[in-house]
Amino acid sequence: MTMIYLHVALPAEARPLLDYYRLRALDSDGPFRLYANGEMRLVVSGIGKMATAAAIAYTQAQFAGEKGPWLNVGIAGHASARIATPLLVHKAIDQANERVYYPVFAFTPPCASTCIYSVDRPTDSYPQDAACDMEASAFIETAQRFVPAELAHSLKVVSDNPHSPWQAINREQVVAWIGDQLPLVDALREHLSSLAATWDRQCELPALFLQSLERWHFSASQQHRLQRLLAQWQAIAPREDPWNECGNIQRASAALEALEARLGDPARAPF
Amino acid sequence: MFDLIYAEEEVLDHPRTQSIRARFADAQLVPCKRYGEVFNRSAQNFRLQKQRPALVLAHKSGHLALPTPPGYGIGSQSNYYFSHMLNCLYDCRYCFLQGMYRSAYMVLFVNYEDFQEEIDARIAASADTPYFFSGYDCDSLALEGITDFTSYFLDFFAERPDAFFELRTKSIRTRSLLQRKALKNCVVAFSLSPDPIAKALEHGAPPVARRLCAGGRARDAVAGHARALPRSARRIGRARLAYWPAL
Repeated sequence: MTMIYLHVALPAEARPLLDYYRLRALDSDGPFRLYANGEMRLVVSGIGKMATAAAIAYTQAQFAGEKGPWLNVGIAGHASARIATPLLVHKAIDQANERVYYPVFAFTPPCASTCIYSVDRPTDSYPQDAACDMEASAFIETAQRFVPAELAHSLKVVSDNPHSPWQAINREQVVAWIGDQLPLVDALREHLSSLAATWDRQCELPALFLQSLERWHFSASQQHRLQRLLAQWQAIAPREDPWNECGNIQRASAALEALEARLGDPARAPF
Repeated sequence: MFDLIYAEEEVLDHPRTQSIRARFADAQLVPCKRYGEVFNRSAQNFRLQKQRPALVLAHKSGHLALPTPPGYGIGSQSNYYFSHMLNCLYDCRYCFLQGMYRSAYMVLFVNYEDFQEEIDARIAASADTPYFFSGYDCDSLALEGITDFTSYFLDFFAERPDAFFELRTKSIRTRSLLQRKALKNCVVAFSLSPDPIAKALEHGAPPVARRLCAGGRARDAVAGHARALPRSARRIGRARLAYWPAL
């Protein structure tokens, strides 16, 4: 089963998610609060880009064998959007160095999306037609180091705008705003799980490769050829064993020829 | 069809960009400096993106019409290809575009005029009849409803009768071809595979029978160049049929 990773900056942002998904505290001695159930992990990073990057890296190190998509859930200011509006991030800009990051939507976004500027300290100056927060750019930059860009997304709920300043935000409001978006979080979880299943299948190629190496002795050049043929096999028959007609083959060269024949002969093509 | 449209800041005001934006009024427009910011980045995954590709509108500069690889032509010594798009709507599992880029986004270069300028330069420099092929990095017709590519380039080649233009496609979007007078110097090449292969491997492409029908319609409207048609295909006339080895 694919693991889903949630990242929040504030304990108040975590509260509704912990309750809804029944996540339990995992590691009380670590630098970040971690929560988990059988199919989800949640890390609370604290505010800021550096804390966010560290928390994601820490979480991935803790669960190195359990790769999975990442979703950031949090509050953000916006120049014009109404309070409590949910927005997915389609472009994140680190205001400190102007580096730009683009999450990739391989699904129909279930809500509107926005550009976001990630700043180093809270601000009353809202960028035009964009959101602002203190984590999104670091979240996307760091998460994309561990998973494909299609599997790292940021969902923001508007908490402040020029008519409702950030200084007035309180814990109860944050809990309520995030709590109202739980169906949306769940929809995103489903989209990401589905994509992650495809990604899992793609990642199976090395296993197939390693199994082949255990069965026959391939020279270095034969290994390159094997990888290329297995990649082709994955493209046309991802759920079939490429060696199921090669039971008596003794030598690696014969195995490669047999696989090439299966791939090249339409009459024996695996469909 | 597209939830997100990325556009280079340079082409935001281009008439073709405006037209496409109007057509997809509900799509979110995301400006970027260069299309390389969103296309073919190292963290991207072609197979995941292919599930819901976005459209990228960009400006292409330099290397607009290039000599074809050996064996690509259909008779002339002067063969060139040009790509107004990168990537294909279809998902043919044997295609070299599968994994050529890490991104499955469809990049449309909207500056058709610059392509035409370079094609003119190639025509002027050619020793014999030059052939220009579209459909190397994309399907020529699959997104015709959005790109208006053929109507624009057929007008262009209509005024250059000594140069040939070949559209390579699996699409059945021939309406733009049917609406105009035939050109003797335009070839519409329909790619065909045996039906079981097409069903198994040419995901998203129209069925072979419908491609044959589209070829038949295109013959009467546009195609002016006949080439070694197999007996079974003669009845569809002067469009060219290309049989590609599938594996």
